[in-house]
Amino acid sequence: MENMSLDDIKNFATVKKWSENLIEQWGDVPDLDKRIGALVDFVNYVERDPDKIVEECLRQSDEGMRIKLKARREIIAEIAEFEKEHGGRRAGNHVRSFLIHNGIAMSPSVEAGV
Amino acid sequence: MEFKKVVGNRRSIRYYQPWRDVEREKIQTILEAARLASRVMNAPYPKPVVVYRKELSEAEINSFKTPTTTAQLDMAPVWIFWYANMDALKDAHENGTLHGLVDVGALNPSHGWSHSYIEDIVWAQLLHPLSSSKEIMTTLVSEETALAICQALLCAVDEGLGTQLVSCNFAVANEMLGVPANYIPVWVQLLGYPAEDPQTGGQRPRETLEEMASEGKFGNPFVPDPKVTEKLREVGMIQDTAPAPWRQAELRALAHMLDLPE
Repeated sequence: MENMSLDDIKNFATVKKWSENLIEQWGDVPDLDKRIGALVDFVNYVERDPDKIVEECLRQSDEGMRIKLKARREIIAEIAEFEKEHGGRRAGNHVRSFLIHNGIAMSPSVEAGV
Repeated sequence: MEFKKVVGNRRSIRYYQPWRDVEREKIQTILEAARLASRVMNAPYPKPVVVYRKELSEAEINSFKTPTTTAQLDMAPVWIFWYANMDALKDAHENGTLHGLVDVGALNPSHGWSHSYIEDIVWAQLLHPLSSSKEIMTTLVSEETALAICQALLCAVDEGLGTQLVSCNFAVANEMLGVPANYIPVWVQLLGYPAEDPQTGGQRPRETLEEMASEGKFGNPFVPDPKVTEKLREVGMIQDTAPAPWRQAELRALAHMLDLPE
């Protein structure tokens, strides 16, 4: 995959859905482009486009959409690696938010010793 | 706290102060509340195991987690693993607590009870056959343990704590905690001091009382008396329904404070 830009990524259905959900959830999201920028860094890091990442984690069943548990474990590990090298926890959380708002539930660790 | 207020204040708390331990006396009080809950045939169904997060290694903590319980397990300093004893009826028969209900004047001749009736009829013809059915016992011990858990939840609220029931990786938990094969997992109860507003911005939206309850005949709604409703409001059992106008701002602040996704 060629490196993606902020403008490129905004055309993907999953990114539109995330943006819409963020605004619906929180009302005002003044740093939306910064959040999407973190996702750009992530998709370039894992070399897969956002729709593909979401598609990998979901499957259609007779009862509706299901989460592929192995794929989810793998993407959680990829985000953990990514945030160590690119932008830290905040950037990782923007990527998690992207997946959460596309129906892939997850929650990160919390530093309990604070 | 007044009982009705405790009922009204209970919420599932999902944000805890990870830095603040829970006093052991509060945990003991919660376990006592569970021990004293209603239990059919006075059998020992609930078998809780108290686990302190700070005594576990990071690897052990991580092994319990599921993708959606990670943050809560990290934040709550105390986890009570609630197990249900599949041999509870047999144990009650063997240790005498079943017959003890006659001795202490709980089951009396006025209502047809005697040692002979318990031994020859209730145990021999009903409970003993039931206790051999895995399907029936799973339902029975789970619901009886849930009664105890309910009291533990309310007691936690009364003690000023946040609490919530979650699932976890029970296959790992069973092995790590050395749980006997005849105990089945029911819930994990988290305990800690809430990092969020303990009333979480209002009571969760629920069906109305008329929708939930019938009177006289199924489908004939139990219509609440507005005066009673008002009285329950005054004592805090019925509270405003969520969300409060400030709740979204609180959730955002919590996400920032605890480094969680939005």
